[in-house]
Amino acid sequence: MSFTQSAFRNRRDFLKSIQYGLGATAATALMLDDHILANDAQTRPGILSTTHHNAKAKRVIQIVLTGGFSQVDSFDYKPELPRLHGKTLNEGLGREEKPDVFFGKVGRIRQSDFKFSQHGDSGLWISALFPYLATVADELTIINSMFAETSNHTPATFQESTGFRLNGFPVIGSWASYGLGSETRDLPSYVVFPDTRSLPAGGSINWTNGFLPAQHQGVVMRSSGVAIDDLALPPGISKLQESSTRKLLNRLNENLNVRQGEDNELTARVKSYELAARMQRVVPEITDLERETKATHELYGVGNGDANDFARSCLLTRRLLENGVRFVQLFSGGAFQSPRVNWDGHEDCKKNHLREAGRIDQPITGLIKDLRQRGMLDDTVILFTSEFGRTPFAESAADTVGPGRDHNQNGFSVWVAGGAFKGGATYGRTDPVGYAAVDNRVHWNDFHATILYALGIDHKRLTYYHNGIQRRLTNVSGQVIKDILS
Amino acid sequence: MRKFAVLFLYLLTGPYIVSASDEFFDAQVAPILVKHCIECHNANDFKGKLNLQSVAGFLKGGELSPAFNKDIPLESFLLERVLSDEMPPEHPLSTAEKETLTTWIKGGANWGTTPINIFQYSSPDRAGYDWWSLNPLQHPQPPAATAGRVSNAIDLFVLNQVHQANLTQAPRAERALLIRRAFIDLTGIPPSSEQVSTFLNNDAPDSYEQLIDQLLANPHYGERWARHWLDVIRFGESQGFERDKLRPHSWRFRDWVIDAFNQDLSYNEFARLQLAGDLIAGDTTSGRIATGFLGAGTWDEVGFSQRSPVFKRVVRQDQLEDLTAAISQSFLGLTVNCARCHDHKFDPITQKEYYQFTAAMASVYHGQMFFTDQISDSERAENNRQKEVYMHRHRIAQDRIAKVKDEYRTRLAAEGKPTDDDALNAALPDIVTKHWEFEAKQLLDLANRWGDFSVYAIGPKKPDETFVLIRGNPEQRGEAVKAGGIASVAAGSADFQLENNAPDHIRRARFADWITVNNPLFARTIVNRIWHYHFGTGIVDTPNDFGFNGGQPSHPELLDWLASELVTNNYSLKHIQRLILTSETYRQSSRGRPAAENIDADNRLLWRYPPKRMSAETLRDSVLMLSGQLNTEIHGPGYYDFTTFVANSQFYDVFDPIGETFNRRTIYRTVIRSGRSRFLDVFDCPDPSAKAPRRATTTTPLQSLSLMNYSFSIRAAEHYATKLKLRYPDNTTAQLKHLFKEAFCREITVDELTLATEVYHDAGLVGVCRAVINTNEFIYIR
Repeated sequence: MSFTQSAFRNRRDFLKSIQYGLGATAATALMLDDHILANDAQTRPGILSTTHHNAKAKRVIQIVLTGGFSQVDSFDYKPELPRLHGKTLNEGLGREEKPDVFFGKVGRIRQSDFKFSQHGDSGLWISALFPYLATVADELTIINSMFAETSNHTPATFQESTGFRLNGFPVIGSWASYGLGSETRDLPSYVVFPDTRSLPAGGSINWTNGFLPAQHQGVVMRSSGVAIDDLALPPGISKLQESSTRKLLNRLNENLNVRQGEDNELTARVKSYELAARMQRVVPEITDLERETKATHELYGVGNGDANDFARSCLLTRRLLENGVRFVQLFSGGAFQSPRVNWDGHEDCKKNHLREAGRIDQPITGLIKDLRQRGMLDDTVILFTSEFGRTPFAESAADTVGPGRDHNQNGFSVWVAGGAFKGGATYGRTDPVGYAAVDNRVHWNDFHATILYALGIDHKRLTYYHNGIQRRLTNVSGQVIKDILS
Repeated sequence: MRKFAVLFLYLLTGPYIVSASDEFFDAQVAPILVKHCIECHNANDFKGKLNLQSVAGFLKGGELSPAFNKDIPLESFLLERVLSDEMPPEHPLSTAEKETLTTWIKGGANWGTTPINIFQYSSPDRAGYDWWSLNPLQHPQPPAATAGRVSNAIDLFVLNQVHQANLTQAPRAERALLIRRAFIDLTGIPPSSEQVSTFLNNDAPDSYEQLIDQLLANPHYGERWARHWLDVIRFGESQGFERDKLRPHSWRFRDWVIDAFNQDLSYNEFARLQLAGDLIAGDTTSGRIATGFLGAGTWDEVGFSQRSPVFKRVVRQDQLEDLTAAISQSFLGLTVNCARCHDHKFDPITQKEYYQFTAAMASVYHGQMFFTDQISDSERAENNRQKEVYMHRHRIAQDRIAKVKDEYRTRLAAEGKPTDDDALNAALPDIVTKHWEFEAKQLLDLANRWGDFSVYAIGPKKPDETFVLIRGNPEQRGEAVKAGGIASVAAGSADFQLENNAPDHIRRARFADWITVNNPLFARTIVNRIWHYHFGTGIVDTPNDFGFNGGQPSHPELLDWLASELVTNNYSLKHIQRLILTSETYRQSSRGRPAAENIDADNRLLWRYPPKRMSAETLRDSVLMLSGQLNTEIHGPGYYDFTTFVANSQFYDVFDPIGETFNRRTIYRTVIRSGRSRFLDVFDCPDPSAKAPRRATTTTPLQSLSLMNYSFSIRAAEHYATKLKLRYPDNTTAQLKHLFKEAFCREITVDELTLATEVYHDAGLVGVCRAVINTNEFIYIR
């Protein structure tokens, strides 16, 4: 029996074992095995040998705005708001509504702090908060009818990324890695760029593999300084010393094979050292942004003040995608600390949002344009999400229009671009003041189902057995929003 | 008991028709309907408008036709569809089943119990009352011995199946590998080279049994096995969610678990105390500390303090679901949590029973529990003594820093440079300003935590009333619910005979009894967990789920035999482990055999011992031990491998601290939910918020990078080299020989010595040590 056959048999057993709810422990190592043993394969297959249906999109960029960004100040144009400014919410809605807001302060309706205008051939309404993004309006598909189950940051963020309000579930990036595998042997399949100012609340929980195998956890990368931890040779160890140590290591591993008999898991470990060595060669090249032209740097906003950090991350994102990374997650905003470093504009929403948008507007736009001009946007999906939105009324005393806005789970906006999405389109609608989604309401489960669909995955069939349940990203619901797909 | 439950249901659920043949219907027809029809044709989901769960539905028929033709019974539509194999779709009934239905219809289709209890029988889609794991323990006799080495009944059960599959038992493992295997399995660290030699030189016929007894009595045993339990119950030492506040006193619960294993506390008592220790042993410190189990999970501080009462209720229900999941999966291998919004889709657990669980736990809130009043004089003295020990170490650490600072200040002054604090700090090496300072501060913190008599555990409140919540929505209340158990489990009565407003001390204590007394799942799950940790895979390979979606036992009789052994031996876990470790099954070689792999690639039948990779903690502990750095102190507040500050939320900056204080067994690492260790993470240390009854074993390049390059790994290689050089100064060969003996429990070969000497020349002994801790031979237990 040849080795490849043996691996194949084990892999089949593995798939069967998943199907019958048996464990995946040893078998996950075999997944790695398979691609190593197939000499020329440049990929690491996921659990799905083929996608469930044909799909253009192969990879994902998710831009996560932490803290909750204001829909009525950005993508949800409400022409009635100037007229209703200073009125009560009930007056605005024309009905009784007792909003249940996080901090319990319901002030008067506050009009958008940013002027809206129409952009692109599609005439999409985008506010002056995002002047750069407005130039790629025709690429964006805006969903204005999102709603969340909670207006508490952390459970809402968990739901945004895992579909569940509780800790302990895998995030969408881990699911994508698990389902589709990796198109590279030299890089992790799921890469995360935290905001350079601070990690998001919960830190690594935001890129956790939950109960999926550890290889699907997000790997933190930095676009300045050390790109990946432990990648470089430790100080004081020369190349000669390294190769000498590796020679001994390899020999000892070979000797064990003789003693123990051939073993897939042991072989996989040997190969993982070869992969690591290759990463050590490849990653410094990929992360070397100086290889890019000045024009490209300018397009993203590298070196442009507050936009620099995010610009570097966006540019590196493109380079990672070119090299086969499956899922890149970029955080705009860190944890909840003082002073604020995220979108949680309780005190002064305009000031807060101007600062935060200034960091990301040009870089994201540069990324979209760059992907488009390189022909990569068609097989890349870009997600621009936030755990919830903000209230169209002020967070202030009942008869005043203060400058801050509270959390709003009832209606908010996200957008998607690239892949199989229509572009230059909007979907869903909130009420006239932008408080609650009323038409074509979209739950995170629906959103996730749609993203998986765009990747060729039936969300009901990408599952992992855990403690009694075939778990999936969309829990027990999720409707694909066909209307936003082209 | 079961009969009683059925009768009880019978009385409750009327109206029903009793006819002469109702027994025939109940015994023969109803099972067919449950297994093949009712999944789609029931009171809630009546496909084709047909409900076959009740006599009324049956008589009414579906949208196409009446099901039953009382004038010409044999032309009944139901019979027609079934006999033509149109129903059930794709899975036609067997001939025997068709005959039974024909007989029934022909005889006038007399109905028995109505509505039929959908939970009564297992079907291809779900488990019923007859599901194997819910039923009383069997006391199977071991099969007779055939060929092979037999040490106890375990071998008889295992060999029986090995032989049936045309497999053979593997030869015994080499003794050196065996001692390494047993050491790591029972204590989480490998033996020292002296311990290996002693064992190899012990010619007594029972030398191995002696070894096992010694290891079970070894205080590190509790550390190893407590870690397994903490995995299962998703133990963390911070709140999780947005704030993720540190819980500085959770360590007392962790120590309680370590002691419980070391003292072989009977498992039923172990469980009862964790569920209700404050009630049943409230006057002792350990009773309170044990309820750290109830406070092991996350706590949404922001959620509980928000303004909206509606959302607060959601947060509370989410938390109760998490608690119900932890309790039912940990102790029973049941996923009761899946019945929050509707009856369980796969197991016979009603939605109401889910709320019976939450009613039992309705008083459970988290909190810091003080036990100043309960603490005994001797406990107080011991805690204060420990506090003094750490204060003393703190002062030594401070003196060490002061001394270096003085030296530097003098030197700077001599060089005519400024000697203010800033200048001094700039001149001092990192190891002093970063690590020594951190360690000194940490020692003070540890001293203070020794002196604080509190634990993070249950902070009970007066229980709220519990209702069935329609679709799990707290704003849609159904009937009121009392604390109770699960009727389908063949344990004590699921009805605790309580009032709705029964006080906490009664409901939670009764609940603990129901879980732990004569409950077959309770015994089965724990012996299976023990088996899982020794053999890498459980007899049931889904240790938290013995329900329909879980695995089937590979050795059902052995499972029940072990569970019975546990019960009749006062729930002693060490007794079960002694049986397992002294079995010939455990002592087999782990070498692969292609012929056997062709028959049973997964080794479910145990024709060899399965090789296992070290867990993240064992790897770290073993590397520390080999390099001579391991601080083997047992007990006490956990060390921090992070700096932390609070700015609304609590933040943790995880790093690789240097110093003896941090070189303790990894179980003493303070487990922060948002502050995970990347070294432990890459080796599959689970997310502390997720229940981890079994760990994944992945192989990734990031692991190689960590073990090759992480500062911890390099430091270990350096310490190891220093240790060897001190032991055998100027004797390269002796150093290398010792290294191999210690790391691999074997002699170095001639070829290896030649190559290692070369590498020693090029990369130093550090380079050799670095290679050794990265080898498969070191990292695998075989």
